[in-house]
Amino acid sequence: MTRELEFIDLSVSSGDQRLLSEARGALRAGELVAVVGRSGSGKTLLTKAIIGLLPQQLRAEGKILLDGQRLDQLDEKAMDSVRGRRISMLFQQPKRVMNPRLTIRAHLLEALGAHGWGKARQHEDRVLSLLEEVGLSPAKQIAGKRPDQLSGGMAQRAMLAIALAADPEFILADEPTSSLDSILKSEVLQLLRRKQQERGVGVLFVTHDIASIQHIADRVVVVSDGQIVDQCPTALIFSKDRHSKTRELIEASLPPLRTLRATDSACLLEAVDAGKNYTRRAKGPAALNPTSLRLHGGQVLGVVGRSGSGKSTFARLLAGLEQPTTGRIIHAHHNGGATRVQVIAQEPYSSFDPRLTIRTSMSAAVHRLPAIQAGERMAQAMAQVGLPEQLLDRRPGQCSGGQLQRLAIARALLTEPQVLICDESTSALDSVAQRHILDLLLDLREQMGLSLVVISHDMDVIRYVSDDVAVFYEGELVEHRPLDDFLADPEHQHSKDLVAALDITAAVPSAS
Amino acid sequence: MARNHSREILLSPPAFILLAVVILTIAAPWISPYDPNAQSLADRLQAPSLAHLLGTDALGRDTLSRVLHGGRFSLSVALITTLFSLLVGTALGLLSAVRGGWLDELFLRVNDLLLALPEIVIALLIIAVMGPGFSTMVLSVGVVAWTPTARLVRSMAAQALSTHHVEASKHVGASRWFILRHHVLPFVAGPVLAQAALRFGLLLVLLGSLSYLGIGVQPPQSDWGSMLAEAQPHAIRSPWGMIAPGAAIFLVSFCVTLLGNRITHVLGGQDVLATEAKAEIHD
Repeated sequence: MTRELEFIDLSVSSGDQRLLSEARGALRAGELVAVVGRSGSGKTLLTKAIIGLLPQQLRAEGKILLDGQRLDQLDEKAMDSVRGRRISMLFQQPKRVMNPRLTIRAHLLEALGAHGWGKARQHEDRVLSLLEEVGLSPAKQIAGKRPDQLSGGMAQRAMLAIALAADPEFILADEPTSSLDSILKSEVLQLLRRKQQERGVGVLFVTHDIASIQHIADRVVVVSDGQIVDQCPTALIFSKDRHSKTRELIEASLPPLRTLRATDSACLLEAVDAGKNYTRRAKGPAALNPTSLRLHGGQVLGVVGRSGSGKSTFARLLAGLEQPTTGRIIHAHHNGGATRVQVIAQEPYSSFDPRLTIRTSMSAAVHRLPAIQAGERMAQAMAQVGLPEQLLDRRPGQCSGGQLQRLAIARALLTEPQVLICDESTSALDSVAQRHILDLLLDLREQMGLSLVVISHDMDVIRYVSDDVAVFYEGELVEHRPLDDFLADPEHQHSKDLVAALDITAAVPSAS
Repeated sequence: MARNHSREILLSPPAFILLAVVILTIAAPWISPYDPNAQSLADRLQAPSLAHLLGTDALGRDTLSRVLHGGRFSLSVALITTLFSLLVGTALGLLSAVRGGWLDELFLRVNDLLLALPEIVIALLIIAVMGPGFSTMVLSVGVVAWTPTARLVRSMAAQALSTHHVEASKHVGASRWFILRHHVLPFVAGPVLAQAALRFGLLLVLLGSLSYLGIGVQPPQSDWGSMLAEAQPHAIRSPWGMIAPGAAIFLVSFCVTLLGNRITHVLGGQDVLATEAKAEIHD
């Protein structure tokens, strides 16, 4: 008999409010099921409810069956022998769920020892073989490290090793690849799929990005507004007659081809040997080595690189938020004065004061104008980003991440910029909101001739919006070329990896 | 939202008690049954009775009338010093946070110095030099009383100024005044008010101690501290003379402390909501 994890009429509510209603489904050993939905749709709640780790103020109802045994009726102690041993979890932010004071070895030993695999000393071999199994080598060295000494991708691999330690039958994975860059994402996805097939584990893979799981999932379950609205084998999910919410998610994934537009030749912004070193003395590695680059009117420059590659530092220099320690940034002068640059930050919720209404926050840009004129300008900016004016009277907590990012764009537009720098502006959003924001940015460029600098760790985003690509690697600009050239023939090793990773998460086939 | 908060703070038992005490002391000249300074040696050291609700002191003065009148003095001095320290502390704290650099450094060192010296010692020094009196009392306490407020304002303001949303506002061209008014002051106001309430209670006790030591208010004027001192020699024979002003000091400082805690609690609730909103995005 195949092992099976089944949930029947599973509901989660907070007070009177239903957050997840009557979800029904099953996960069999040896299959990988993707749970796809937008943020706030209830997909994370589903996994938490299954494993009995809901926050205290939430209440779950319904049956959860593991090989016919009711999990929802087990007490905490009995659940402890299920969690980790029979069902384990993967999280989006591995470093956040690991103990920062313990080594990876200690984490693994706990996962092994706490679940009855015998004495700790005999486990050393097993620890090392687990680490090697997830591609972490030299295993011995890595076992001695603490979570903050690992990179994001290594931490996620280590977490997979921990999850596999007790040989579970099922793994619940909650957005384990969403905060990784394209290369790491495809590596971790492939690794997870390989381990899942080798060991015959059943994996429930929660994600907002339908494109990323198309090559690895056996089945797809679509969640929207707390309900399972669609489920079918992966091959069928892209057909035209699926549920509208499914279509929405599929259409959000970024197509590879976009018609290129000619940019006007006027140079708006130029970096001349601009570098930045945060340490006081000039020794030590610079955050950004001297970099030269030109940005033209109407151009979209995609800037890609890992965290710590210097891409954000470069953006801050371009935006004038920081002064370069070497070289300079030249703002071209034209009839409207010097080039105005604005930045759209990554975190939508932190770029607005939570205490103030959006109107007050936005008025920062126009508070020197007479009130009536300021109001008109705000109304105009809201229209440009396609939001109703009523939103101005809300507070940030009452807006969605996508709305706030639009509002941040509207606030930037109030200053009539020629250049918008988007520093990972869509990476905190789900795929549908991301697509909307990117399309909005491209529209603004079309209508107003804005130049865009789009910084992202996500190659899909870069490919979708850019005319030119700049690749940063370890504080250095290693490649800067038109997009087509770059995709066809990447030069630097890192660029090759980036382009290769695109194939794994390649955009979904169009339905037409 | 803000209205609900102030309602939750103002419609609470400690706020009602304080309000009642304030009204009673303000109305003292009209409602107190006797002249607080009228002596009647025949009626000295009496226990509470219908004629004298809280008894009389060693000179036969009505204790209730004296508590009501004394309250005018105790509360007003404490209020003035609290407001003074609130204004000075907020101004200096903001200046220090906004300007930074050597000014901030200087501010911190002076602050450290003043915090290291006990308030009462400094007050004693100043009174010794300038002689006792209403204005000396305010001055002697006010000189040091602003430091905790200034420290709090400085650190809260520095925290507010380092947020992403302030950077965003600056970058779209907000003036310094805009940022102070919209981003910094609302952030600082709640905790500072909560602290001011707690400080009021402390200052009331401190000023009472000065009067108790005989270097605060001078006869025939009296406040709760000096009443305690006058009644002390007769404590065994007639404890009422001490219980009444002591209870008044206790009641007021207890209530403002409760009120301060309440403000902290109510505002704490708001911050928790803000954090939750941020957490949602990581789901």
